[in-house]
Amino acid sequence: MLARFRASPPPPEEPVAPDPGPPRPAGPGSVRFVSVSKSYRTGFRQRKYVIRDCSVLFPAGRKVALLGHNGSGKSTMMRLISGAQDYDSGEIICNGAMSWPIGFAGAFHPEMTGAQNARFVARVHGIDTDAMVDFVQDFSELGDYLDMPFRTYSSGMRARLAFGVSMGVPFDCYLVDEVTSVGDKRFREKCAETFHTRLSRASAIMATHSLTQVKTMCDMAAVLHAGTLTLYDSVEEGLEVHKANQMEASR
Amino acid sequence: MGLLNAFARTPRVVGALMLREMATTYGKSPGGYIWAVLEPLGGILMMAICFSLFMRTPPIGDNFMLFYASGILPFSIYMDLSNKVSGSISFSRALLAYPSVTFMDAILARLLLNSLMQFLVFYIVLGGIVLVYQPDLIPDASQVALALALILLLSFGMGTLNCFLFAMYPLYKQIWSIATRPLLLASGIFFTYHSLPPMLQSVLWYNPILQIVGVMRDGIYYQYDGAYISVTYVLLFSIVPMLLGLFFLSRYYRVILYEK
Repeated sequence: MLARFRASPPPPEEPVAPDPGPPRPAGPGSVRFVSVSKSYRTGFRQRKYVIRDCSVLFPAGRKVALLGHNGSGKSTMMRLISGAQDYDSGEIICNGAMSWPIGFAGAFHPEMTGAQNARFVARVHGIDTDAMVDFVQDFSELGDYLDMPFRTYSSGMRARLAFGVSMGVPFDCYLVDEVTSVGDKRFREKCAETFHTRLSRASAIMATHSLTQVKTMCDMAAVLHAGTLTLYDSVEEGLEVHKANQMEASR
Repeated sequence: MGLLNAFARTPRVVGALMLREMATTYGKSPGGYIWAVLEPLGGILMMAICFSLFMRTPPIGDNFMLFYASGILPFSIYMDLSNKVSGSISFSRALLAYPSVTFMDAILARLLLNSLMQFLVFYIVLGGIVLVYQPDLIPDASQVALALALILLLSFGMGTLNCFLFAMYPLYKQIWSIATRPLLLASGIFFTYHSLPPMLQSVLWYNPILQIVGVMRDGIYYQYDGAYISVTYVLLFSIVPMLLGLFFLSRYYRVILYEK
């Protein structure tokens, strides 16, 4: 009788996922602008263009630093991409799941606990709620405070919860608008590490003024200046153009 | 995002929004969300007791409470739902920053949750009256259901159109609130359509809430004459604003979010 068990065939080998190779430029995670224009009214018959007739492709899998001086419209660009703001003409085609701006805490309800807020975000994005709460608990190091109303949190705790929740959802493209450093040095390193692993296969578009962040995290640069958006394949090149633009603007 | 994906996504997001609204409304008062039922229930009972003191014989049937409830219930359901729907973008404004949440989810969640609550109130009030007073009734359930469905549609239609108009033209909100103030008196809650002089009849006929109250009483009272009711008119009055509202909202809701 035991022979039957012995004769059972050896367990099949674990199937190995084929290496998908480098992502296609227009695959999931890419954002394509097709002659997009966006302007604000600044006075009678006056309009300031953030971008004018702009056609670019943010390729999948690349981490693009969005450079531009103050008031050039970086945050507007972020909102255009995340679909929160309207543009005048053209089309923005987002491929795959787009994140909300990382670290955004504005949608947390002050009367709900941190865990309830995390569960809500998980439900909206179709993720297991318990797994989300476990992840946030583990990541944010909020401990028992996770079951306190969000309004009782300090600004540091709010930022930690927001970052943890953002990292709990897998996206194809991450949008980052001015990451403010959260907590002490050890926690910052932990954030950077988690973000790096999240980004290994995803793409990202970051608007930031921090040069170290641009150099360590990005492998492409987009310069927004006077209504045009130009993509540079190397960060150094983009930074130089950005610097020259800033000199021009300050003159 | 394929079409199939959207079919799975919308119920999920709407469910999450409903749970959130339940958790946050009445969060501070003891008893919590049970007030969503108790508050309208208490309001209707208070009004009913006051009016029953000096209006003893109703124009139809012999129970004032039943007559009053059959009018005030559709009216208060409409008022509550259309208000909630028209406020849904400002209510969920912060959440619309998540790319996965659309204005349609916000509207559907508010409509669904609050209509469930209002229908529960409806059931409790009518059930309570039948239990306490035991009036002789031959109700027509399909007419009552039709009335409820029409209220739902009308509040959804007017709510979505107003949701757009309130956000784009703040002045319109004040004007609307003044212009609809007489609605409580003009919707046939304290009287029947037949008891009106012909002049008023020809004007108030165009009030869709009066029509719906007629459908409701037609369902509750077997002796009610509902020949004047036009369901087509109420449907038109709901569907045209609904289409206009949805069209303008889908075009302008991102403008409302960041540039208004």
